[in-house]
Amino acid sequence: MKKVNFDSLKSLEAPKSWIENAINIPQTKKAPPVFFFKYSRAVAFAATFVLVCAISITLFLHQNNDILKIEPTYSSTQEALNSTQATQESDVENTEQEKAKTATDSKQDSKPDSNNQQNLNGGAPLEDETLPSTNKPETDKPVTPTDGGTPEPTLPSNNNTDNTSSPQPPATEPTNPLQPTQTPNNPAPGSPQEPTEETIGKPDIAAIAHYQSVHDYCEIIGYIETKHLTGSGNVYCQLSKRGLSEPWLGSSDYCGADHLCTIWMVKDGYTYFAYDIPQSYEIEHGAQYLFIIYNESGQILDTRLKYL
Amino acid sequence: MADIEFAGLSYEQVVNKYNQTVVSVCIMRLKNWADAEDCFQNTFIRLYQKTPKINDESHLKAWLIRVAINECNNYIRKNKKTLSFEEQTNCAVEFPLDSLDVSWALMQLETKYRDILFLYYVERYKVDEIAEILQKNPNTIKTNLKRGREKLKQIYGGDGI
Repeated sequence: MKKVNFDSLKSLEAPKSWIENAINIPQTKKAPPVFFFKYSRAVAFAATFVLVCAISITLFLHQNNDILKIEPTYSSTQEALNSTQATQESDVENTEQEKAKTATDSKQDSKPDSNNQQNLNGGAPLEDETLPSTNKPETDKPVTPTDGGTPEPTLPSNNNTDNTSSPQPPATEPTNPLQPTQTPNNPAPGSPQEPTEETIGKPDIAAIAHYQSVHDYCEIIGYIETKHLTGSGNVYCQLSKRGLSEPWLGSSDYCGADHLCTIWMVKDGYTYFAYDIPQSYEIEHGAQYLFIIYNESGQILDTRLKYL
Repeated sequence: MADIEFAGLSYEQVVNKYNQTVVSVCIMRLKNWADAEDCFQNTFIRLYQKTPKINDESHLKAWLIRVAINECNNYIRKNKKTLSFEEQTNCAVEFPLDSLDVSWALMQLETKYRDILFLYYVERYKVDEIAEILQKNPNTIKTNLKRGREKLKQIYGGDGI
C-alpha cells in the first residue's frame, strides 16, 4: 500500500534566480507614493467632480452663446425699427392673420380702465388731449425735420369712432391688432393714410434716441401726432410673443396686462410712446414680440415686431 | 525599500521566508516552471506595490497565497489559447523522487480539488482558513475536500490520505 506523503511537496523550492529577481524588484519597480493609495478614491472622486463641473460649465456657456447668436443686435433704434418693419412685411402678413382671432379676444379681455391710465403715462406730460378731428394725419406741423433717414409712418389709418372727452374703452370691437392691413405699409381699405410727402417733415426717432433710458425693457418705438390721441391721450400696448418653437401668445397669456406702453415724451405736437415691460416679466431672448399700440378708442396706431 | 514592512518583516525577509509557499502554489496551478516564474515574480511585485497593511504573519502568508492564486488564474485566462512547450513535451516539473508520485497525482486532479488539498495537507490550513483564502463557503470546502480525497485515492491508489 502506498502512503501519501504530502510533506514531500514542501521540498519544492524556488530557484535562487527567482528569489534574487524578487528581491531586486524594489530597485526596478518604484513604489508609488503612499498618498496615492491612501486617498486614491478621494482623489478620483474629486477629479471626476471637477471634470463634470468643467464640462457642465462649458456646455452651459456654449448654449448661451448659441442663443445670443440667434438674437439680433441693434446698434441703434433706427436700425432696430427698420429691421422690425422689414420683418413685419414678411412675418406679420403670413403668420399673424391666423392668430388674429385669438389676439383680438385677448385684447378685449384686457381693455384699459381709466384708473390705470394715469400710471400708464408714467408722469410724461401730455400737451394735447384733444381728439383727432380728421382722418388724415396733419403734417403741417412737422417740427423736427428728418435728415434724410427713412421716416416711420406710424400714424393711425382712420378715426371714425365718435370719441368723447371721458376715457372709455372702445365700445365697438377694436380693429384686429394683428391684421397687417393696419400697418402703414399695407393700409386698410378706406384708410386715407399714405406715407407720402406728408411724412417727410416728421421727426426722426433716431434723433431722439438719446432720451432713452438705460432701462433695457423701455424703448421708444413710435410716435404719433398728439392730436390724434383720443380721450385722455393715453396710448396702450398689447404684447404678443412668439417663442422659438411656439405659436403666438397673447399678452394675457403670459404678461397679464396690457399696460405695456407709456408715453415717453410730448414734443412739438408729437407724442412719443415706448413700450415698458415690467421688470418682473422674464424676457425670453430670441423670441419675437409684437407690440400693438392703440389709443383709447381701440384704434391701432402702430404695430412693431421686435426681438428683445 | 527599507521603510516598507509587512508584519514586522522587511520585503527581503518576506521573499526569503515565503518564496517556497508561493512557488508551490504557482507550480500546482500552472504545472510548469516558466509560467510559474512569471506568477511568482508578479506576486511579489504586487506585494511591493500594494503594500498591504498586515500585522500578522499568518495573514501575510494567506495574502500571498491568495494573490498567487489570482495571478495564476489571470495568467491562465490570458494564455489559455497557447500551449506551453513543457506541457507538450510532458516534462513540466521535476519533483524530488519521493514527492513525484503524489505531486503527479495532485496535478491530475481538477483545480478546485487541487488547491484545497494542497492548502489542507501541505500548508496545513484549516477548513475555515482555506475558505477565507479561497473566498468560498466552508461547507463547500469540506465537500470539495472530501471529493478531492476520493479522487486522489482513485488516481494515486493509496489509502493513507
